[in-house]
Amino acid sequence: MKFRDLFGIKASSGSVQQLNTRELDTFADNIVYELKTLISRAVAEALEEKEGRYLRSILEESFFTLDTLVIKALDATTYRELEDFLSNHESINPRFRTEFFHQVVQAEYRSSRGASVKTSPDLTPIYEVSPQLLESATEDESFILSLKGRKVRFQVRAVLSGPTRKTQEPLSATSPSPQAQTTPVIKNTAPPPHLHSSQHHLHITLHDKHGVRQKTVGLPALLGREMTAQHDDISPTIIEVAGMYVSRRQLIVFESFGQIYCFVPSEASLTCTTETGKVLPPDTLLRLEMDKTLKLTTGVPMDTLLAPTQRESVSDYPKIDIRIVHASTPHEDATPRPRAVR
Amino acid sequence: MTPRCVFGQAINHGGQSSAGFDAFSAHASLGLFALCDGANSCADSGRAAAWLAKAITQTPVDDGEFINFRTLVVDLHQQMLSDFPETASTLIGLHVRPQGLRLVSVGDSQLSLYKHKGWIRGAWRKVHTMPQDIDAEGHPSQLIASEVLNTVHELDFPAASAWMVVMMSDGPAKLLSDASIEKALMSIGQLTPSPQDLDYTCQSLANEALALGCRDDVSIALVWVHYE
Repeated sequence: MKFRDLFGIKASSGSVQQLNTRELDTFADNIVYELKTLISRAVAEALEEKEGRYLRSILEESFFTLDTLVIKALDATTYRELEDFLSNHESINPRFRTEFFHQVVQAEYRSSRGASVKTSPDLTPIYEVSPQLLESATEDESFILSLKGRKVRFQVRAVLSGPTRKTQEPLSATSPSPQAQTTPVIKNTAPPPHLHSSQHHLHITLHDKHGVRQKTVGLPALLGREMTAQHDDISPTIIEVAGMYVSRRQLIVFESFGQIYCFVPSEASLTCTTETGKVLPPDTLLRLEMDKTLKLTTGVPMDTLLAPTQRESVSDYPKIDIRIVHASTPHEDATPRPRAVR
Repeated sequence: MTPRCVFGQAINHGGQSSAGFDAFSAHASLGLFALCDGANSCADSGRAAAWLAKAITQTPVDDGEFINFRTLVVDLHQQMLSDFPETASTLIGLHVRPQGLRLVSVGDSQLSLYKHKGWIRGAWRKVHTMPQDIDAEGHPSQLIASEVLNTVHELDFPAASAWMVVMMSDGPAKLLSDASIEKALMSIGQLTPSPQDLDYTCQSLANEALALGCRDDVSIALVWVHYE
């Protein structure tokens, strides 16, 4: 019989039911709260140590990655309690340990200076204890008290890597969800789709204001003056041609059904001539032949389609050499040793 | 004017597929920097490139004088012919002095010089690219320690408020557009970068070259020079 029963008061009236917090839940809540706080502090400390070395502009366009997290129990009792808690739940749910630690690690942390830390989806914190603490500890060793008198039970150390440019994000997901554990990390180092889709690349030699330059690029490609790079996957490869008589959108090269074509768009005010002196009319396709280099010289006014007689200066009239190379040509980028001609 | 140099690097970036034929060496207090790309077709060229880069940057320098790259490279070429037979290497490098910069290039690696654009805050524009020795097949037409070494390209630039020297092995140089490089340098802007800032910029550009399908060694170095 309880005290209130003496006055005829029922323990619960109708729909109201009193549920007491179980001891185990309280334990878990306290641990989660403490670990979350300590991990945030450890990440902030690691970030502060790193971010001071970088310009704010770089911090804003990049992120650090939380690579390693070491959680250390500061006394044997805490270690045993948490280890028992994890082990007991693991007997029911084998993934419990991973899921528990993912609960205490945030997907992203930020600093006031603009730096951010993303948690690697395959991160599993290391939970350890000092072997000495497993021995019977003295009273002084058993309790490390904070200023508020609360017992400090864990020590956390975070290790960051990076920074990595945000557009080159190496993570498959930013959230450390349990599913991420079984998902392989896909690094964004594969060629963009427009390179995948083509069996061919272009080897372009530019003779322009900047001298002679060679580039191997994917298709489609857009050559022109003062081009600004696009960074979405469906945009063409941009090749800047520096010279006086070059249009902004001078030449477009693309692949269709295994054939490579180029044309000068009608919006260009200037067009080009081929090696034989043929003028490329606007919006007219020219097929590039395998194993042959298409040699173009810029600077032909579109309104007259008559090539100026003097076009020797490549600073004024750049020359563009285009050759098709097969994407899978072996050792295409290798550097051979030059031999003397005998 | 007193030059101040900060440099960053991403050499043989990307790991697994990279055979490590490139080498970078710096002696910031002497103002000497060199990036060398050993010919992939010769097994020992990586070692030769490392030796060459180190030899360039450890050359004794007279006070106030530019190093004479032409004679130095010819001497080192002769030494490499005997010490590193059947190898070959490119060279791009610079010597920073109070009176300005001296740039050098041999082979198909690319060295470009950038300067602040006056009319766009923080933007850099390319003012010069050193000659690249490339034949009709797209291969280097001359290399140090090879059978062919005809010309050592050397060019001086006067002291200016700030220069950015972009050094790349031929792999990333073929794939990275000027716009990509200018965009990457824009993050540095007109501020004074730290070595970590420049390392990050080099790594970002190297990652971009790998994402574009570069299968050669990927090496990029940046040298920021400020005259005070």
